Amino acid sequence: MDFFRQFFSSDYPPQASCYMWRTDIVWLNAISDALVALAYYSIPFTLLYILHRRPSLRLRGLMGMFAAFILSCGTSRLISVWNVWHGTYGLEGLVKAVTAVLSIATAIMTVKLAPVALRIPSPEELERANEHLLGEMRARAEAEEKLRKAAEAARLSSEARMRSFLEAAAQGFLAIGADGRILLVNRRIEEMFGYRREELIGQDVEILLPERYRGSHVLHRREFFQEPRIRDMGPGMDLAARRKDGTEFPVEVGLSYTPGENGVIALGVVNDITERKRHEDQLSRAHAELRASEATLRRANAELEQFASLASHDMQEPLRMITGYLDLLQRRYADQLDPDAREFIRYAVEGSQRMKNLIRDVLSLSRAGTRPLSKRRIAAQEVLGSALANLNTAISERRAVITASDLPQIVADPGLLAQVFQNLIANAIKFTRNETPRVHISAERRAGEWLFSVRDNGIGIDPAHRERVFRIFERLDASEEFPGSGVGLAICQKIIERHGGRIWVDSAPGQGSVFHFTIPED
Amino acid sequence: MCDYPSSAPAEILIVDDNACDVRLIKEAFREGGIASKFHVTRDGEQALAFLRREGPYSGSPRPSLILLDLNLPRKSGREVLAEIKAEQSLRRIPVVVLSASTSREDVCRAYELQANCYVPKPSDLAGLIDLGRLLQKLWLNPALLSG
Repeated sequence: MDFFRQFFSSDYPPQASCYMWRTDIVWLNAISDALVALAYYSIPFTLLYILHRRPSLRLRGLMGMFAAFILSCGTSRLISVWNVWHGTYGLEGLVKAVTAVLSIATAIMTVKLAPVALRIPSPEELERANEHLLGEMRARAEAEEKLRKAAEAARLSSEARMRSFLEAAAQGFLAIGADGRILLVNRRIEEMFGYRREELIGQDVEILLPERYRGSHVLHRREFFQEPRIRDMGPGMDLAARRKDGTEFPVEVGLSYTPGENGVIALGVVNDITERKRHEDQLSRAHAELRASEATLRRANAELEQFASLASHDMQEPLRMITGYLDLLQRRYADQLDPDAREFIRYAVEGSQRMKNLIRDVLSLSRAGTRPLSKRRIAAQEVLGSALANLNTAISERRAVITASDLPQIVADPGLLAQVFQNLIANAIKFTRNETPRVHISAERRAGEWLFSVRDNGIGIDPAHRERVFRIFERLDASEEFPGSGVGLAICQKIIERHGGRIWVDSAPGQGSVFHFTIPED
Repeated sequence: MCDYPSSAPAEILIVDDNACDVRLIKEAFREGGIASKFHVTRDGEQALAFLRREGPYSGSPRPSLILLDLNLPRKSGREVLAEIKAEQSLRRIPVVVLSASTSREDVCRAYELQANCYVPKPSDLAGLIDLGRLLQKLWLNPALLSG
């Protein structure tokens, strides 16, 4: 403690004593030192102020050190002034020591930072760089301006194109503000409604509707603007529209929307559907007529079938009498009649026999069309078998050769299908002249159906008559050579069609015939 | 109560409004050599009167077999059949329905009403003769008459 008190004591002779207390020297030294101190003190504060205001300034550490170094220099000058009159040399030495440390540190730092300081661009360089930068910025602004102008031009031309598209559109187009006023229409709207666009813009959209719908349309329109949504054209979007001259016409309207400056804007696309409506009306009239005539036809057909069935049935009764009594005459009185009378009776018997067959065939045609189908899965071979059993007599009489390749399982009414086989095979045998009748039945899978073929070596059919053979009572050969009623193929056709299939014939005279029919798979 | 008498010709009642038909049946039986005596009524009411021996039919015999047509004036064959089978004294008489109809409904109805047999009318004389012989075998055996 004593050391410190002595070290910092002012008991030594003041500096002025060296100046021999010469007032002029004392004051010159004191004032000069004071001014130097003042100047020294002002520098670090200025530096600190600069550092504070310019945080981006580089070499901040060095400047800080300078500030501290100059500050301590100032302090030592201040002590010198003090020591002119006092003799506190210990303190002065201490401050000088601090100054020495700071100055050496600053000097080292300065030397080390010299290369870094040299790399800092000079203000001239900075000025040049700045000018270059400004030039670049100007060029960029110019380029941007050019680009903007080009974009604007493009926008304008695309807008113009869009407008021309809108004008050329086949549909009417209109835009409606949220207040219901028309904002925009295209040329087609003008044509459709007979207004010029100046007459429409700013008007309520209801001007385009018949008066009776205007009130309700206002409500609909408000609903739309409250909850806008896209509504396609199509069924249910038909409206009545009103032209300037008061005439009405049907339109179809599609709606969409887009945000506008004053709320939603509704966008309407309008089609004049007068023509289409006319066609639709015609079509639906034609359709109704068709339905009516179809119903009439069905009724007539049903009546005809009923008639055929009843007539045939009732005809059987008197026919039975005719044949019965003719038989009786033949049995009991043949001996007492001359040959002519016997021949007459024979013709009468034959005629009534033919009529009996005819009635039987008409009845079976009627049944083929009316009997409920009872379809089930069955082997076609089995169906063919029962048909052949019924044809036993004819087959053995003509020594016919009937062959069949592997036939499939199908879904069909076995009784009716057997009748088809029976009629086709019976025909094949019947329409063969001299040779042994050969009939081959085959089946082949097609897309979703089975194709059956019944091939014979008979007299064949002229292709011109391929359709006719399926008509009822149509007999290509009216001679006695091939007797028949001409109902068999009509029955086949009816049965196959009821099964959802088709029947047709491929043939040529002398080449035999192939009757084809299809049966759908389940 | 069964009577087993008579070797006399069978009494057959034909109920049919068609004279033409009736005659053909008779002739066919004759052709077939079936000894029988025919009685004919032309409608349902007459048939029942005959069987009940009412009015003009007071002296009529009890038939061994009835050949019944279905389509009759006044009272249909079905009604006649139902009444015969409902009467104690008549129900044992065999009734053969002889009809032109082959409809399933007619056949079933007849059997439901206790017809003894349903036969479609044969379409020719030969068929009718065959039928006569069959009926004779089935119902006209003199030893086994139930009527």
